[in-house]
Amino acid sequence: MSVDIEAKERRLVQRLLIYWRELAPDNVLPSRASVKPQEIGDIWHFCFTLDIGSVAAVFGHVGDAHVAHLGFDLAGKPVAAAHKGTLLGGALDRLDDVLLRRIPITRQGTFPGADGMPVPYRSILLPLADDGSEINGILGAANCRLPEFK
Amino acid sequence: MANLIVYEIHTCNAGAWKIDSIFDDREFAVQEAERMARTQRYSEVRAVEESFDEATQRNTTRTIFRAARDEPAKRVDRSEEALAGLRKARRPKPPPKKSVAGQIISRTFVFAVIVAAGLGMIYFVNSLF
Repeated sequence: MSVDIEAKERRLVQRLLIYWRELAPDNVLPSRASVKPQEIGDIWHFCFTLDIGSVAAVFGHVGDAHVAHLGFDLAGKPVAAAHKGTLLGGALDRLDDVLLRRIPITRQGTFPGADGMPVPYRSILLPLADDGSEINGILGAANCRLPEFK
Repeated sequence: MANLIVYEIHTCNAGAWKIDSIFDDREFAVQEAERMARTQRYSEVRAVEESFDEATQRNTTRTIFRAARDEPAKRVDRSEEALAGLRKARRPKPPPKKSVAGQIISRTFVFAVIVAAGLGMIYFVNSLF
């Protein structure tokens, strides 16, 4: 059973990575406008986007699963609002690396659940650039074994 | 002190290598590298394990998968790699080969020592009587 869940988590990240690769010809980053929720399908619920401005990165879209998990919507809020020790906080842990290296980075880790037990999760961050070069957005996804992510 | 390990996929096109993506899951990295190799979009694809030992502050890089366009892909199995390393380390060094002239000289020297020892023995026995 746990193998099935792990495979499902991996598939989410892999599917988003494959989608991003299809949008990105060699050495050109895809634009924010090229990301189409209808093409992403059912995994859009686990996705989030960031707008990278000159001052601070803010959440654009935050998927339904994350809103249900948090109990509120982080859309329009700065990334600092996703605290460390939460699923989205963990997923954003390597944001600086993605901005610096300009490549997809996947991550797996744990965050403390409501009962204090560690909950494993898997996540990915994918750079977006409207001009194909300067990063001004991030497409990300994260999921875990909690009921709202099934 | 823990080892920090990440897995990178490197791609090559027109002779230029670039880091394509980073993973912290070995199996996922190899799966993705295999998938990318199958697309035939890159002349070469490889997955490498980057390991950083905090205690020694040393970085180790090891290729765990490689594939080239129109060539069969190859997973580099960890145990095979370790065994190959062990075999190499354990293999005794062969003694240096002597030249033919060297062999003749050394054999002549041994023969001369034996003859000299025999003559010395005869001389010693004769001197007793």
